[in-house]
Amino acid sequence: MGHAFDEIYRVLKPGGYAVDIRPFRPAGTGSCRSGRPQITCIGNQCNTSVGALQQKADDFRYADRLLASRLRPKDQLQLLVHQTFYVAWYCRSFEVFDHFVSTEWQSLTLGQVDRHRIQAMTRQDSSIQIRIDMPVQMNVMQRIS
Amino acid sequence: MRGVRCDPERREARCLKRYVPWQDARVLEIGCGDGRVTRKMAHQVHAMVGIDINKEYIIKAHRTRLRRLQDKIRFLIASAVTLPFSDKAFDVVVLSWSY
Repeated sequence: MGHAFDEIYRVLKPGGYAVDIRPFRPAGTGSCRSGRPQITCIGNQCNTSVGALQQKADDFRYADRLLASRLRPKDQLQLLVHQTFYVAWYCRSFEVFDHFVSTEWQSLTLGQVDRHRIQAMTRQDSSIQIRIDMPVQMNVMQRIS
Repeated sequence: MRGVRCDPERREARCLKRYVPWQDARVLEIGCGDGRVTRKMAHQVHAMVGIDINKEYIIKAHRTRLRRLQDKIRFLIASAVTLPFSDKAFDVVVLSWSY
């Protein structure tokens, strides 16, 4: 990602915008669940929070530090906006959810307790969808010179 | 992926549109994957190039490219550390879910 910033600067026109959009791990959340992608079973009657995906914080911290190092005053990119929000994925069954997480998001894992809970719920009601709410950050930067 | 809907609430697209002038811009998306973000933003821009180092993703992006946007979108296999473009070629560069 470090060399990528050099290349981004090179191919951007002066005054052009660089947008960095990626998963967000709130500072200080450590290993607690609140900072992780949340999983909810969506049924006809109610929505039930069933757990969270586990992820390594190191990758996120590295990218955050790298971005910060590129935004010091001497550098040529200026941070205009930092915003956090949630992006939701909806999976129509447990099998789809399991396949999706294991193939598309290899840095995330599902704990055994949460797995059993989701499986049990989807067995009881096959119409249940599984929603993943991923915390996301967007940083908008502008090339100064 | 079949059976998966991503961001039907369009939060990501809304957030992207809010702060960046996309109209008639030349846009590069780094780490475009299967072109999910590219497809969302392409209708507003002048031209959009999506690159990814993963060949399978680029094949999938080509396959799912919208016909009406064919002239605007290009997908290439390329690395972010050696971008195959000239200096100052783009108005907007999106580093998409790459960390």
